[in-house]
Amino acid sequence: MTTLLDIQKLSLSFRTEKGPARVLDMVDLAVKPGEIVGLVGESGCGKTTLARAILGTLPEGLTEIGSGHIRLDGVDMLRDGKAAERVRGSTVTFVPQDPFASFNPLFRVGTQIRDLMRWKAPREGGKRPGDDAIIAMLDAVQLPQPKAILAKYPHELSGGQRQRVMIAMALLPQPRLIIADEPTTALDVTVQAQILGLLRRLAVERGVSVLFTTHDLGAAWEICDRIVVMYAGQTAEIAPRDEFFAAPRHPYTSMLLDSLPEPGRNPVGIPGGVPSPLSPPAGCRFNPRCPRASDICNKTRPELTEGEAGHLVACHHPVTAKAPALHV
Amino acid sequence: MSDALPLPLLEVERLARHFPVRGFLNRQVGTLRALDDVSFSVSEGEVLGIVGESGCGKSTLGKTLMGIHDPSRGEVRLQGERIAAPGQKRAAAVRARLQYVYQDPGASLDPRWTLRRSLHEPLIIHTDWPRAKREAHVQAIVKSVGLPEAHLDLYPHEISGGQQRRVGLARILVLGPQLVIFDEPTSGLDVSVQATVLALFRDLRQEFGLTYLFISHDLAVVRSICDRVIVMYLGRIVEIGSTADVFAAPRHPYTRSLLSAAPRIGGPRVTENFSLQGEPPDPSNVPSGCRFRTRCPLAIDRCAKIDPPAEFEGGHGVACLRWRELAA
Repeated sequence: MTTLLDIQKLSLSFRTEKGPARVLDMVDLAVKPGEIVGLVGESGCGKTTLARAILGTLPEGLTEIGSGHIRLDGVDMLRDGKAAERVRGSTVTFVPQDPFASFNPLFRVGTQIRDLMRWKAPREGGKRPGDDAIIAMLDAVQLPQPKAILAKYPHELSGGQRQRVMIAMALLPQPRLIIADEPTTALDVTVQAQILGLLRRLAVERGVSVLFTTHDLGAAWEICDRIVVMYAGQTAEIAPRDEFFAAPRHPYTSMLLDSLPEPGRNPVGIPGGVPSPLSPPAGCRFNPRCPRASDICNKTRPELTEGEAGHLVACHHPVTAKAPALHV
Repeated sequence: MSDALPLPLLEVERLARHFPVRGFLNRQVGTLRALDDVSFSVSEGEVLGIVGESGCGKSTLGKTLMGIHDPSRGEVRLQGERIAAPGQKRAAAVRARLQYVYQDPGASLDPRWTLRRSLHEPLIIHTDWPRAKREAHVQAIVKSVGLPEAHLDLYPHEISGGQQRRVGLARILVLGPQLVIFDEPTSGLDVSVQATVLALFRDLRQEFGLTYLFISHDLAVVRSICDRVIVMYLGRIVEIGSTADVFAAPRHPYTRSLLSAAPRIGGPRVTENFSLQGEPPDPSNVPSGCRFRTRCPLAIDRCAKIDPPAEFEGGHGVACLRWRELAA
């Protein structure tokens, strides 16, 4: 199996005044070429940190890599500084959550796109692609009057338009992987549907992989082929989309799905809160909130093991058809 | 509902709120019609949802009802008594009967006051009760939102975010309001927390016999908690009806698009055939006739000329010229 992005046993902590905050704990993740993978989890689960670790944009002085590696297209993103720099922005690009904060408000959109092209776009016949390629791409992301957009300032675009420009900018360097960090959280549902559809269509057409982080399970359902769930810095479950929603194995995943509001059912929450990364519980980090926890759970960290094909779960007492999830 | 004999708790008649748009030298260069010609009523004990995308006027509606904004036209009646009209000053007695819950009610606690002092304050302002009576009342309320009495001597930073939220709600409930307006109470919450917050809202409504106005952009939440729902678009009500009717058989083309944009886990990917194009136009320059016509797949010439009035059938109202063709 060839993987484009391969993360194994990645542990990472931030130095803080109160000691190390262990934000990622032995995380495994793989993205195959052309695949759209959803990285799902609630706030504080480490999904944004993981995305930034792949890009190599974590604050240098404060980050401590404990173990593991991140390999993107054969390049070691953690240790091979020069090669990682080459890869960043060309082989792997980024679509941010808040596109407004990512534009420089003082320059026209066109200037900012051309700047990007000057450094990161691949040469074709010794030349960087010109405005024609940019306009064709803005057209592909369904922006009306692309020429006029280039002459506008970021504040003159609406939220949906800005996110479209961001997607165009992420695609222009012809990357192999796009990391989209909650790209639709700030948008309304109708615009979200447009953007998700666009992102999925363009990625499939061009064979680009997408790592899509989100806390919105509905959005993950819309766009992903495979879903990875994180809880408090640990990988809880990895499964193909359909299986993930139909038959979740990890108690956390199962309770998360039951928390979704649905007609004719009072959603059940998960009691308690996410543990602080400064003093995470031993063993499985979900054990203090888990209705199925036993002695082993607060001593031994469960390994990620494969049940059915492609469905991995890290739990000592996974949910099965015979032993359905219990709620307190 | 509308044909019931008892007087509705709240009646809103042709309510409008316009904001001047200022240009050079503070000259008025336009009018932002945030809310235009909105009429509806709320019966005692019901939960009425108000949904729409950003800029549709749902928060302006809540704030105008609350007296934070002065209406430009129209009036609001609480149990038959006129409480808001252009130029009318709000009586203190009315303020106690209506309460407004911001996104995070816990954030409105004074960090330098103990919770006891924060909870006594509204009673000191609005009643002439002796201290002992106030204290007994505060303790009863604190118990009903699920907090131990011992917490009354703590400061906001000493309790968790979820508990702060409960105290914020307790502060609203001490005055015994009749109508509580929630403005996006669940946005920004993770689903597992959202489920517990919604359960708390439900319990409190039962216990105190409250009526809720529930402003939200989250359709799934509105569907799970509301009895009736109002759909707004660019300052207008486009559809109003029982939650079951509106979600099962939406009549307005905008409601249809809005509902079809929300991801349905387990269903087909909605993004693959989502048809609504573009984003809502600028509210300071609304289209003539029906405000949705610029994006409406069914728009005809007549839509630009006639501003459709709300037509009711079986308590389910819709403002569209062609809804009957759509229903057929």
